[in-house]
Amino acid sequence: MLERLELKDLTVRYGRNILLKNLCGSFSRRQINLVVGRAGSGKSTLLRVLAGFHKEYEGSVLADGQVFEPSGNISLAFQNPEALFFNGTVAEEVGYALKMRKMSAREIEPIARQWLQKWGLDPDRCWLNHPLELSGGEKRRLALAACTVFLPPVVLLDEPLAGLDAQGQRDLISLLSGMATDHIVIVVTHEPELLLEQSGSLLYLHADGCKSLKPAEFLRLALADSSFFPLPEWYRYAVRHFAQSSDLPNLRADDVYRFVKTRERMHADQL
Amino acid sequence: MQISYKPGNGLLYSLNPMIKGAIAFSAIVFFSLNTLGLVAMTAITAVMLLVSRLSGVELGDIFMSVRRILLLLAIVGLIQGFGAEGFSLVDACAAMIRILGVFLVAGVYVTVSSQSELTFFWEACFRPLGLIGFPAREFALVMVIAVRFFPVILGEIDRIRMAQVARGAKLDGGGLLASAAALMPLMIPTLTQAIIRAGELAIAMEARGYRVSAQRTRYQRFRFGIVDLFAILIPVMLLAYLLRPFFYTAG
Repeated sequence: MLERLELKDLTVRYGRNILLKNLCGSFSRRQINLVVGRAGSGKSTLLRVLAGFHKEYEGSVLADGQVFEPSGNISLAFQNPEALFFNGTVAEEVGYALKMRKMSAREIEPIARQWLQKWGLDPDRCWLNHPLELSGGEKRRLALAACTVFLPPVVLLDEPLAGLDAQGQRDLISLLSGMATDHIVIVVTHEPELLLEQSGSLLYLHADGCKSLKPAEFLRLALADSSFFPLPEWYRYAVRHFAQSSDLPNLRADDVYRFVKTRERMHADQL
Repeated sequence: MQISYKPGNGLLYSLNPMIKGAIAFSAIVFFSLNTLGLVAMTAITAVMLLVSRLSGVELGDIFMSVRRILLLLAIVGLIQGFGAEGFSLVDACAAMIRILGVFLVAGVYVTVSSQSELTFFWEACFRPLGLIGFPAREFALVMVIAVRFFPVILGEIDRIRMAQVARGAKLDGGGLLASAAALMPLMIPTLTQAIIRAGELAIAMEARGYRVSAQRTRYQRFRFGIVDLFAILIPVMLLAYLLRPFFYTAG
């Protein structure tokens, strides 16, 4: 089982432009590893390099000290992975990656069913359904299950929470945390606030390179200076009221909503 | 990076869209059909690039995109290079420079023409068909949207390809049928996304007041300038050169 993926002086050029400059950092198992940056900071390029689709780079990517060979060792899910469905049933969709690995139908079924259950989907209910018949959150979970059913050591996710409601986001975060015990989970996002509490490491990409930070350190820097990283206003506002001196607040939009409503009620009572 | 419109104010940018379009299309036909030798074609291509550069056209993205047609160039070079007397490097290069010329002309044209200029040109091309009830404006809009969406769809295909390959998809099969079947993981999501995007675009256009066959005014007026009068000589000369054999035959 792979423990650690390391970037050493990774530089990617496109013509005269430098897309990534001297990136250093590491991603480990048993934690969610965040890659954070503004639009255009090179997040997608890094994703392509790690997935092995961008082979022209300087520096190295090491897996437990050896040169990393992405082929067959990674799973890659872009934003809205449910857009990739092309099979007629949930069974075929989740079993596709195993079929491509020359497994027989008899071998595939129990693995696929178990994997669906692990991702919070009831195989008996949805096994023969068309993937597009599922709800939004279920589609996202099916898509991620289909991307990871072949147990790749490294899982790369681009904005996995985008477009989900608060409950769907909560469910997915807990599933991702569970996944991190067996895989190196790397999440690329420009909205890190929902994942900060669960993540163990954070690679912050910016125009001049990158910075490896602890999530709490990143939060402190972003709260102190919004030009460092623009956190959403609701989050900044809530953190000011909820944060303890050292712990990160595990806040969601509905927590803030409840807080604001309480404040409004108190204000009305006073009047 | 994709070839797309990059605003500028050089000579090529300032031309009337009709002239720009006429130059681009006559140049594409010229590169496709001419029988000038390798040296002449290389010189013409070099002059074209020089004029583009002096007009402030950023050629970097266009040159980088040439990589995408390298395989096509190699195949064309191989096929055209073999003649009765064996392989001729000069013939191969001459064939390749023609394809390259077409690509570069199209690249420069797209880089210096805004969406409204493209629409104006297409509309003008199809306007005569309006006399027989052909919806020229709508057809021009469809063409322009197709051209504009092409890079978006290409980017989408690239993303889907990567994600499916990471799942283990093998997107190249053996025979023709196997190849088609192997492309299903790519084709279905691409088509689905294209249809979704088309629907969203239609709603967005209607929401902003677009109605089919409505009378329209024009936001930008494109006028002919002195430069256009000189520039029009380019398509005239190119077409005269291409039509020369017909006049000889007739005479």
